[in-house]
Amino acid sequence: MDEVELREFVRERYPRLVGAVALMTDDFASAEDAVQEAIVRAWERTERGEQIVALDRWVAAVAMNLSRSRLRRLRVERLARPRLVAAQPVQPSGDRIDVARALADLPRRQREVAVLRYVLDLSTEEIATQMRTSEGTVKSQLFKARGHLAEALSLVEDPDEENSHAEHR
Amino acid sequence: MPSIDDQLRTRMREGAPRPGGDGDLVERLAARKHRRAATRRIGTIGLVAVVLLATAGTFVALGRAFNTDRGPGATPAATQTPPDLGLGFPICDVMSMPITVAGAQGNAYVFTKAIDACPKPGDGHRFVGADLDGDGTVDATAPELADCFAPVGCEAFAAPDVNGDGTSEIAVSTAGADGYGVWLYAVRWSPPALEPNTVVDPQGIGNLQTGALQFAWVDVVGHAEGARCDTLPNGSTFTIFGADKMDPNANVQVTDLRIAGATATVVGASHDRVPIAEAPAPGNTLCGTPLHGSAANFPEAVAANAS
Repeated sequence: MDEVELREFVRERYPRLVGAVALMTDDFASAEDAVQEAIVRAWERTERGEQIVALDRWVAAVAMNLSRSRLRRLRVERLARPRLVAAQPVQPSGDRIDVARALADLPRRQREVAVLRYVLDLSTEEIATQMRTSEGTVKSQLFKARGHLAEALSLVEDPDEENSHAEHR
Repeated sequence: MPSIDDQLRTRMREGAPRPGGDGDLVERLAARKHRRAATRRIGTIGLVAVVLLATAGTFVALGRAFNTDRGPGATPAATQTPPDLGLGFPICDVMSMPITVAGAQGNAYVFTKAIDACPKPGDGHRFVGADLDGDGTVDATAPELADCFAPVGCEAFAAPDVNGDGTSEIAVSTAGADGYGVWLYAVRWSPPALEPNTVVDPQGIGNLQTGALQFAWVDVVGHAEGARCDTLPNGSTFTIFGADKMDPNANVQVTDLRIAGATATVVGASHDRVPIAEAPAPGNTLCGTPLHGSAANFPEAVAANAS
């Protein structure tokens, strides 16, 4: 990856990747950190001559792994941090708050599946590979997440679409 | 009408937080890459040094073990046997650090109660105690330490005199992936006692919760927490700070405590936005005293704690 490719990647893909990881972790700063770390690792690998097929998928996977790992590893600091009253973060507004709340109510795996599907446009096969699970499990989790999110965000199904879904099921 | 999937796609993309304009992001990524490379080089050099030192140490130890010709005045080699601190039960994994008690020298100890073998760090019952008069026996202990997580467990962290009364406070840490959680204990001379410091906030102004005083010692990308001693016109304070660093500024929250005995009273608090370069950061000293244990070369040692 040369500098031109890197600049293009940062311009085209970085915002959406950060947004996706932030939606999953509910922590914007660590999402940015994770995506930047993943990009740097990708850069190093390409400099060593390794090929990365689908760079955005690779960076997304690594960033999400880093975020998951970081959340697990931060448990000790969090024991101490509740003593410090959290600084008031920048409050999201409107649609952001609705989406964040709806996602926060989902179990972690459903949240991840929904973000990978709807924000990063991954196929069920790609999601299954990334989450190291079966396509059937992904479809099941996605179905549940979709239902919950539709209800929480008051989305209305087109009657024709509904029939179409019913036929597929 | 768009399908539910399309509606979700639109709503979630619009609802995702977006990073601000990052004109210099590529430069920052390049700097980060250079730091990673430098860290790897230092790690390699460190590993080579450790191997060489371990080899040399082994030769020295073997030489001593097989050398029966001890000269006059030679002292026995140090053993792994833990010191007898007069506690009445066997102990192991003992860490000590010097403390000052009313101007005299003593020692603080963090140790594990031994049951058959010595439990691994993070297991077993771990305590902090203090020898107040330097006679080699522990005069006071605090209740069992909690949250001593593997692989490092709880350690003696530092022994600063945070209120300038001539007696050290004892700081004990538990190590995490990116830093430490730290508790502070007050040393009482008569009767001998070790008491956890407790925060009170009569004006309700602090950025701290009341109760047992705990603070984090963390310095990672985007965030730092720590503590320091400040001398103000109306006396010395123990200041706990946190900084969220988002280029180009940092949100810094600070709470000033006045510590008397085991009571830490909030006497001031602030919340400021400053350039990142001016944000407070923890180092490897606390109020001028060195950090002990794995924190001695903070923050370099922290990554190793997580492995």
